[in-house]
Amino acid sequence: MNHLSRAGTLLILVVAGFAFVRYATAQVSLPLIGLVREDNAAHWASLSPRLGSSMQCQQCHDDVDMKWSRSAHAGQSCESCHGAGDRHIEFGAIVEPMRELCTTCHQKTTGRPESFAAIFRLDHFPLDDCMTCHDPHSPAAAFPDIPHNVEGREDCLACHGVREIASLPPNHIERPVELCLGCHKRAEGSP
Amino acid sequence: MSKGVPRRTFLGLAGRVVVGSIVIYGAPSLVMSRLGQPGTANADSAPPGYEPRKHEWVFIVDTTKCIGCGRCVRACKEENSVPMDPDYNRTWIERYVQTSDGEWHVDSPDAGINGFTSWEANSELEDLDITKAFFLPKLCNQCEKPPCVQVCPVAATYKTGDGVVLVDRGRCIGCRYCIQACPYGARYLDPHEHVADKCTWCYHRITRGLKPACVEVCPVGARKFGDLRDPESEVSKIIDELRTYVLKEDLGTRPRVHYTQLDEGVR
Repeated sequence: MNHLSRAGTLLILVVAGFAFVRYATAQVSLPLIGLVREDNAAHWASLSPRLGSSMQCQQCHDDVDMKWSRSAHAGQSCESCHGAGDRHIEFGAIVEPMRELCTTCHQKTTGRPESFAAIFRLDHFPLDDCMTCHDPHSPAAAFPDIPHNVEGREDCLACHGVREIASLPPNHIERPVELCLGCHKRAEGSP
Repeated sequence: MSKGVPRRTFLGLAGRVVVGSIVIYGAPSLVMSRLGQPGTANADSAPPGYEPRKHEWVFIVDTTKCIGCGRCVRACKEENSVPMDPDYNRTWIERYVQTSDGEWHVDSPDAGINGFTSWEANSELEDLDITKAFFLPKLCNQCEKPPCVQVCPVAATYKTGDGVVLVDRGRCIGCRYCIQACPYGARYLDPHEHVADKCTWCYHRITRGLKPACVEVCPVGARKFGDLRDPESEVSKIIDELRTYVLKEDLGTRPRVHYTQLDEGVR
């Protein structure tokens, strides 16, 4: 019987060893494939974010926030246009300024939804900077000063429908003339 | 071996020393790491209070909203230090254009990072009779059954408890099997460290309660992210109420990136 008990002990030891190694290395948590490397997942989770949130920007830039939060761009991330803000917070570096960012979104392009506010660059004041009329923090056109008397007039379209004199932006073409003076005011000091 | 220690004694001693050292030094740390207590060599710490198994993240793309501005691609590269070279992307945008003869034209200039407004990007489309056109943002689908995890020979890539597929850069040997295996082309080989890299859904952000960078900067809300375990979250409601589709459903990978209103041409 001695040889039998020795073989039995050896078998038990082998099975126990296998069970131990399996217990130590395999993760029962995953019913399907692969192992979970919890320490490595913790490493990925420990990286520090570079983009913050617009809430952080507002803490200093409350003047911009006043305009932005009431505009059509409200709710959009500051970093969508300005880029990641981490260096700005840490070193006080100037955030990447706006370049030709407007048309990245607002140029009419194949594939872009029809309903999205977009212009043809060559039709919509091609020689002017977007910021002449639009403040990106409050993008509804901040109207350029009108250098003539507009009060009481109803004949705006006599000139402004004509391309050579002063064309209308594309989104103005369908609007009735009664609406013009609701937004457009005479510049101070003009005749 | 004429004199000194007999061979038998030497081997016996050596065996005991080896087995003993493994038991004394190896076993406790193995068991400890298995039980979830921090090992000695692990200096990284996850954000406190984050429990992977209490979350089930899901990503939803609304193809009718995307305007192809590419801010997501740029934000991803900034956030995750992805090389600016357009060949390496964790997320990218494709444009699908169908003409009246039924042909599809697909393009993705520089992965869409500069948008699709350039003359070069549109010159070929000018003379076409376009019937349908839309943008399709793409990223790692964090599959429920990830083929990339199955094929990894060194088990360097794995699924976390919340469903995100990650790569252990220390274990990866850069063999590129996973890059071949991914049916969505979501992986690339890091040109500097020569290890596989892919979208992590910004694991460092979602574990802190932030949104992934691409979702954060999307100006039109075409990318949505949230937790299916939270019945009040926006994504839960979308999954409950709308028809959503996944890419290459027939492969059985069960992606966690869902697309609403996905066209038949790209499924």
